[in-house]
Amino acid sequence: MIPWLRAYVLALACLLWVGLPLRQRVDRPRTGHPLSTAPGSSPVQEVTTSLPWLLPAATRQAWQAIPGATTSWRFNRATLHLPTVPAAPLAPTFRVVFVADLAPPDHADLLEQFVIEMAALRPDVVLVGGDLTYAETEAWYAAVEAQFLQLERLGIPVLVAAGNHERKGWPLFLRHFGHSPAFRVDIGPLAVLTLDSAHGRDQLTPSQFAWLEDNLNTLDGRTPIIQLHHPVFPAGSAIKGEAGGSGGSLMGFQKAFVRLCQDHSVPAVLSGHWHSDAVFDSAGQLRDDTVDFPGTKFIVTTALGNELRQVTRWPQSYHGYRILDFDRGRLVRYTADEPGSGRRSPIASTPLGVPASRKGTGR
Amino acid sequence: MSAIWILLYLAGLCHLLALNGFDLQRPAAWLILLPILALLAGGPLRRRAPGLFAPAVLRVAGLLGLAGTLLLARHLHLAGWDVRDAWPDLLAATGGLGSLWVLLGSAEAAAPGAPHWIWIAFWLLTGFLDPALPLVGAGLAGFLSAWGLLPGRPVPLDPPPVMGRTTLVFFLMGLTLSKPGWDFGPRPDWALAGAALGIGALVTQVGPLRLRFARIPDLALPLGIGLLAIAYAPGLLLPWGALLGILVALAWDRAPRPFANARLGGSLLLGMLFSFALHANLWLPGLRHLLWLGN
Repeated sequence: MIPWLRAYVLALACLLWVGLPLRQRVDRPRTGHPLSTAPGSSPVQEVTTSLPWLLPAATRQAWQAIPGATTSWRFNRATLHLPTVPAAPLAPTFRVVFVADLAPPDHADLLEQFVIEMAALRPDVVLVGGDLTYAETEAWYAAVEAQFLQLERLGIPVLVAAGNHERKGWPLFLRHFGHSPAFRVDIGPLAVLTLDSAHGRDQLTPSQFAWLEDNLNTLDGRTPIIQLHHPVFPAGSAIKGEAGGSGGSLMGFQKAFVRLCQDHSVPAVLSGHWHSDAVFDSAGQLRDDTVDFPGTKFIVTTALGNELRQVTRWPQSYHGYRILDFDRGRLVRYTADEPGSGRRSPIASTPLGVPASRKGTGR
Repeated sequence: MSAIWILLYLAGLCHLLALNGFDLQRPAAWLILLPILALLAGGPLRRRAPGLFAPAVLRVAGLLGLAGTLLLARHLHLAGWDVRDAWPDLLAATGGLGSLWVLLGSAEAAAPGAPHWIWIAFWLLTGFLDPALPLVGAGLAGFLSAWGLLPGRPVPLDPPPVMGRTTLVFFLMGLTLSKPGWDFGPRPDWALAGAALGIGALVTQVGPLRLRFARIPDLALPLGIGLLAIAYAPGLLLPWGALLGILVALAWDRAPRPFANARLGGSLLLGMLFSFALHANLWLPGLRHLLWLGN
């Protein structure tokens, strides 16, 4: 008995040695993980500390100074529950921009161009659907984070999802964009649910699916939209070639996921990964016939800056992003107009303008 | 000590690598393989060069094992393992080799008892704080054993032949153990299953229950552990972990003594690698329905 007691005393000493001096990692708010700001929502701040149930003094004092806020613990995960955001009339319109498959370092100008265009467009939120960097270097991750910080300084929150390429530089992704790849942010009329579809090697896993189900059951009247890196459906009969092997789709819980979206009237599920545009209905059919069909829109958006591919029969190919407009929480627009005609395209995203540095280079 | 090293260090290292990536194109990454190679080749080495496992050497190894795992955990805590950095590879290899050396030099005569399983439960639970911390549990146990601060004595015997079924059980154990890790990914909840495993194993050591569990037929072990690989549900994480713990403890109880570290530890490692390969290839027809309930 005594030897084991001695062992546990030493074990506690080891834990203290690892955890001291007391330090923390801010999980929220941080770049890519903003606070919920929707009226009636309950924003939380989250930190992970180096020892359980102990906050660094500065954080403890700052948290205690917030009137009405309460703290809860799960071992070394501290959550500060801020007072509920007061109810207020919502603006009738709400604009979301979704972007995925960003630029590698040699196409940095495309990312800069995107930030310039967002500064002009002023969406209410930007969703970044994975494959952020394509280069596993600290410098490039920092550069991409700096671009997102620019948007946040403009008052445009950025929500970052992890893609399959993030796995190659996973510690860098965690360091720059947080350790909670699946999270919820209530903003405007929306509950934005960000998933990590590469979490279990190109699939959803049971715990994440259960998390999604729980959140869809507690929407409190908000309109849910979901972003995840992988498209939910394969190209199916609309397939057009191999697309460099990049035509993969969600493997885990795909049918249950679609059913869940139908049951909770999710208007849009946003994905990237294919480097090309596509829109599917709940039956997995490519809808290049109409922009107006019932049920969830499973929307795939082209790459912002990486190599373009053609996965389905949809012929248009360009770098771009997707603008989604909501009117009182209802999705009213998710495609760009057809050039010249002014009619709404059934699938097309918004092309990225040509950066000044590329004008005249024949891009 | 075998259960402590295999479940805390070996399984913990595999979990860390699955979480953070492993790139054998970097020379430093090969360092991590040293403890694994030593696990597989340690038995013959001990027979040929017993001087390498003298008490003084074991004490130094135990100290290195503790220092390596402690420094590794401190380095990774709250930050994660940057696989481009050689320092964690060196620390993981030092910690693993040091604690393994103690295990090889003090082959155990008896199955792990209640204190060992409580130790495993405690350190697996610390995985909630950081996935590198369970490795410290192996390093500290090695240090304490080498310095005579934990009960146990060296048994200079070769392991008896191990039956195929025992090997299969440890293979299936590796396959099943890693399920919560694949499921939760960067979320720390997998550690709760680990703690439940330790508690479940502890239950098998409680007086009257011990006799009841002894009546469970051997065949139930591979069947039960294999079934748990399929019947995994995050909503039932704790009962699932406890049930697995019971079967794991029974498997360790029934393994021939001294424990065949190389064969059974190697089988468990193979099971973990196979589990990784299965879960990384869910596009294969039928596989995803088999591996995740309700998928």
